[in-house]
Amino acid sequence: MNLFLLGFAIITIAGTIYALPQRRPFELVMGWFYAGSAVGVVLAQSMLSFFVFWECMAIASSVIILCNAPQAGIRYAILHALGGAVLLTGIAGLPTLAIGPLWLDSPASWLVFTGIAVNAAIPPFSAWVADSYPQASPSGAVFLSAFTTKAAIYAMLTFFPGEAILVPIGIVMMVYGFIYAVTSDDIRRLLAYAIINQLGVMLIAIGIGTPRTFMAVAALSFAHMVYKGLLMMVAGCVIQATGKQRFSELGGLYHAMPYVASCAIVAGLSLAGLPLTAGFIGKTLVAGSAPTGIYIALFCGSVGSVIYGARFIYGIFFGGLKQPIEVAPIPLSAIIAITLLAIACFAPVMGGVYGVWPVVKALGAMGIGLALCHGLFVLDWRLSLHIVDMDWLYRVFLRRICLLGDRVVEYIYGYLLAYFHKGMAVLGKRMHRYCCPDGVLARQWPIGTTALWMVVLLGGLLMVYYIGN
Amino acid sequence: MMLLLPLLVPLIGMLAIITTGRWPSLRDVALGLTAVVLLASVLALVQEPMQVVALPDIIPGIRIAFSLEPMGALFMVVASSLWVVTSLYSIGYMRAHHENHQTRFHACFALSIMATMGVALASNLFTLFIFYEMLTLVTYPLVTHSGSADAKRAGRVYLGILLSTSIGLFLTAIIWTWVVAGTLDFTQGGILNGRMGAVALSVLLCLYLYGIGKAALMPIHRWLPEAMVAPAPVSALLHAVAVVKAGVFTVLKVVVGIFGVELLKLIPATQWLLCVAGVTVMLASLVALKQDNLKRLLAYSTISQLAYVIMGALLLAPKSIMAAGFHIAAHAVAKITLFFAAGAIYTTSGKTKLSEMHGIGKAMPMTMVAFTIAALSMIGIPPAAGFWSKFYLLQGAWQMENFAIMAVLLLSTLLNALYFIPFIVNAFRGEKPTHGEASWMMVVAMVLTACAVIGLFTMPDRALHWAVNSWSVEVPQ
Repeated sequence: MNLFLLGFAIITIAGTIYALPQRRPFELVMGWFYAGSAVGVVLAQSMLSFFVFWECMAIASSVIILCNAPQAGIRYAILHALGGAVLLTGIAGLPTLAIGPLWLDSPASWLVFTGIAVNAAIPPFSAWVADSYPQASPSGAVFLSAFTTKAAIYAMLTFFPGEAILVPIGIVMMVYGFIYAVTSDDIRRLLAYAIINQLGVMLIAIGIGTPRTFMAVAALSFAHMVYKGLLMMVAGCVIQATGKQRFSELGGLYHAMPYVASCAIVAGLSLAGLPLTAGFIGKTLVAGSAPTGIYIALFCGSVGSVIYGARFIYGIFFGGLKQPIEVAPIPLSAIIAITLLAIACFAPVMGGVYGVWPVVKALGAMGIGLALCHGLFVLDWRLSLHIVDMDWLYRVFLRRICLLGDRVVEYIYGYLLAYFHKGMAVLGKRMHRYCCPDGVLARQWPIGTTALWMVVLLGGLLMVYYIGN
Repeated sequence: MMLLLPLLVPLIGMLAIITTGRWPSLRDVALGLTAVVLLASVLALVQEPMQVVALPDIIPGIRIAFSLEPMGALFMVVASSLWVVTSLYSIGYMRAHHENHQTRFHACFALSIMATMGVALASNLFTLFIFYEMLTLVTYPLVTHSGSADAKRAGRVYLGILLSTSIGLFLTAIIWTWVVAGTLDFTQGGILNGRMGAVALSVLLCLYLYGIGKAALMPIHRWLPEAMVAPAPVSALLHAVAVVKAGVFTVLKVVVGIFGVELLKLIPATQWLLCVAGVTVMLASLVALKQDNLKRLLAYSTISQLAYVIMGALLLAPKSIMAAGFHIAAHAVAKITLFFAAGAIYTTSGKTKLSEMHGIGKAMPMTMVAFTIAALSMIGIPPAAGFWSKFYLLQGAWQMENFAIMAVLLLSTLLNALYFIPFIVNAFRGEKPTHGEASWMMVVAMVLTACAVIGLFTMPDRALHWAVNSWSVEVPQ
């Protein structure tokens, strides 16, 4: 818990410094509201206050995205409103409102799980990360990358520690995040999928469920907040300085911004889990208590993270300019913020986890990853695809269905309405024919006719009474 | 006799408004004074609920009688405190529009508040019915205030639906109840126990729920969107608070005080009507999604939210009935804010369509922030009052293990988000219009009600306490 809070605090400070030159102070204020809500989620002592802060977090993050990208923000806000409602439904069905482990044995706790899964970006609720984060402002993305998903990891750790289903889910997320990360062309989209990839590692650790892995989750989250915040800042600097955000347009920026590049490399090392960095401690703690199968999966995951990390750094800073780019100077506040986070990447040194084998393993993963990455570059990497993600389901498919349904309903409604109007018109005409001044009902009747009908009526009544008796 | 004060104060206020009608400033002072005095007397009154006043019998067994019970107290406090705010707002609104017949308008307004107080205080169905009908009749001049052909047509629909349901169905149900039970007093546990078969009770329940047209259960909801031709203060106080809440309040009283919760659990019609309420929630939201006129959108949203209350009442779980009572208050403060905002936008810019309102938030930030807070309450997201009613409704649904209702609540959240969020976002984008905020009286009114939305979230205790004790007391012979 302390590590989560420490990570939130560091990101808030660094993010604030980074955001100082922002033209929109409102966004920064929302960033603080966001950070405060995340702290509230971690410190909450009852389900209700947990939920209240959870929703405050959703509101604040929506506003941050909305400031820069209204359409993505609307999608984000609606999805999180729905996720929050699912979570609330689950909370309402729990037997107690105290915070503590729940087991996945009742519909209520499944609903809580689903609600948290939306924020933890578990597929199929993961598309919002890649949809919204790359479209936020540079400083907004720093805040976004840290809070929502990490608070969800904290919630998973608190409510579902050792839940076995989290292990396969985590592995799926690792693979899914990796595939999309190495194929995306947008630099911040790569980072967004990298978040999903790393969340997968954390969920695996929660799923293994030994006290040591719980420590590992906290350490991993902390490391992840720091280096992902740093990478987001680097991406933001690059975008602000060049106005471009695609790998296909960037490259060879090392000479233009050597300091930023070296900080990115530091973050990359922490991402790869190299000794002396925060990432190393987390990864080693997880691996230490993992069964063999999961251990191999984690090792492959490490190699994967090296590959996309290398792609990020290489694609932006090395490998020759594809076209001449004008580079604007980087503001001082950004430099300070980046430095702060780069130091934080190295800061935590825990003696206990250092040993020969973990170090060898980390270096090995790094080596294999770099070799593979190099191979791919030699083979002329043309993997910049835009593969359709799950958000296609609701952005296109569901939309089409709704539009179709709307049209069908409108057609039927219009048909019925026309029929109704026609019926009313006919009725009106009939009424008019009978009731108009020279209609049947308004005519003067001869007294004889009236008497005849009276006789018929009375005769009928007589018959009824006769039969009745 | 203290109990009759909430009825007498608006009545005297109405006379004062008529006599001072020649001097607009004096008249508006009289209006404000009436509202404040009413609020003060209501607040003094609710300190000690459970008082009773009965007038002599009209025919044996039927009389006009009043009593104050917790739920009525909640309704009275909400209506009278919001009337103070609305008075402020309507003075600003009517003057900004240079409306004609302002004296008639304010007088009818005071009278309709009196009718609302009567509904809240009624201790038997007969009294309630009288004030219920009075409310319909005195709001008719308000709905048709502008006098245009459109307003007259809408007024016909309004009167037609409300009167035909109340006289055709509600009155029938009341007479039937009286014949069967011999009394019309609201009693905890109901008065029909063991006197009727399940089928007859089912028919009776349907008569009540469809007879109380003000609760706008589909398919008798059409009058509410039609009533939106009225000036904004009318839509705000009457068609978001007084009239519609009188409807659902009556439903709650009938469920708790005439049938009784235990009896309703045995009737099949309860489940059907619960389904109808759920369908109303969904369909009204779907229709709202397609509206381009802001006030009509809000009207459909009201229909959907009223069905929440009916759903809560018919779920029959203690928690959900509490949620239903609380939602009367929570929805009232939020929806009045939304209507205030719609009226303020109309006053300053003359716009009524959603598609024209791009960028309006840049010119009217206070208005749109108040609107946003109220919209959060509609969706049911903290920090807004609507959160509590949704939470307790969900708890009630869990108590009864009714998963369909949970699904309805989830989808309704989604739909509410779908029609409010894009509008709010678009209001803060695009070109800034040239006009500014509405007059200070309207802005203050909106800010006050928006604060009330947050206040009800942070301090729901008193309202929940009143909502949980929702039944009446016996009238002594």
